Amino acid sequence: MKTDLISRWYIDVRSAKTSDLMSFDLAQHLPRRLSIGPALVITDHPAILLSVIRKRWMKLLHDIETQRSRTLDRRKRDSFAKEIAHLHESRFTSKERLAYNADALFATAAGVKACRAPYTTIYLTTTITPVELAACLTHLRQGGLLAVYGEWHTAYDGALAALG
Amino acid sequence: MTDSTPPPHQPIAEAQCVICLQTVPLVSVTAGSLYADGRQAFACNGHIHERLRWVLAWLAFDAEQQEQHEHNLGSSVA
Repeated sequence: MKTDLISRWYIDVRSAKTSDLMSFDLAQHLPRRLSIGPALVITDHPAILLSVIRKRWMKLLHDIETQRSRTLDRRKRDSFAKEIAHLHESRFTSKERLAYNADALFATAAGVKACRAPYTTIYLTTTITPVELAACLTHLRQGGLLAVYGEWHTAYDGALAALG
Repeated sequence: MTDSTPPPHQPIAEAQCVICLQTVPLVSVTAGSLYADGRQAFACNGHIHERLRWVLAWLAFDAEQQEQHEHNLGSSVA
């Protein structure tokens, strides 16, 4: 992870060799980031990735419910209950017309025009053009996180510099 | 944790992992939720593969920060 040149955002280039590993990483990462604000997930196939993440989300929910049922510690039970509520209440969509009401929008790079701003986290799961990256970053809150799965392309530096 | 706006941040080279509490280079961590004072909190990338530990450690961290936040609010009211 690093910060951009003028420290507006955190940039996290995350390695995920397969789409399965990427969806695992994203499903682990997303709940913590959604606890502080909405997220935008840029993907070539929004509906498919949303479906995969939803399945992993339900598994996570089940695991936390199991943990809650196993502990008698009141503080831990409260913490688990809060997280269960958070996971239940998080709203996901791949439909841009519903973006205003969603905690996580799964969209193509071309679809970001319709998205709600600002986002606390933007996940890039596919390669996009510098122009598309610049458009995405206009929706990223100061201090927010840009998480990039795969490579950081040198052309992206140009997009960051242009925004500076 | 509330949706608070973090303060403008300064360039940093290292961060403390909220899971193992080690101070590690920024390149080794990822951003999670926030400290009670709005600062960004981090955890080592390696921990994300320890599925339940990752989840439970962040939940413990968030609960602690929530308590700190409520304590701070109480102090400011008093």
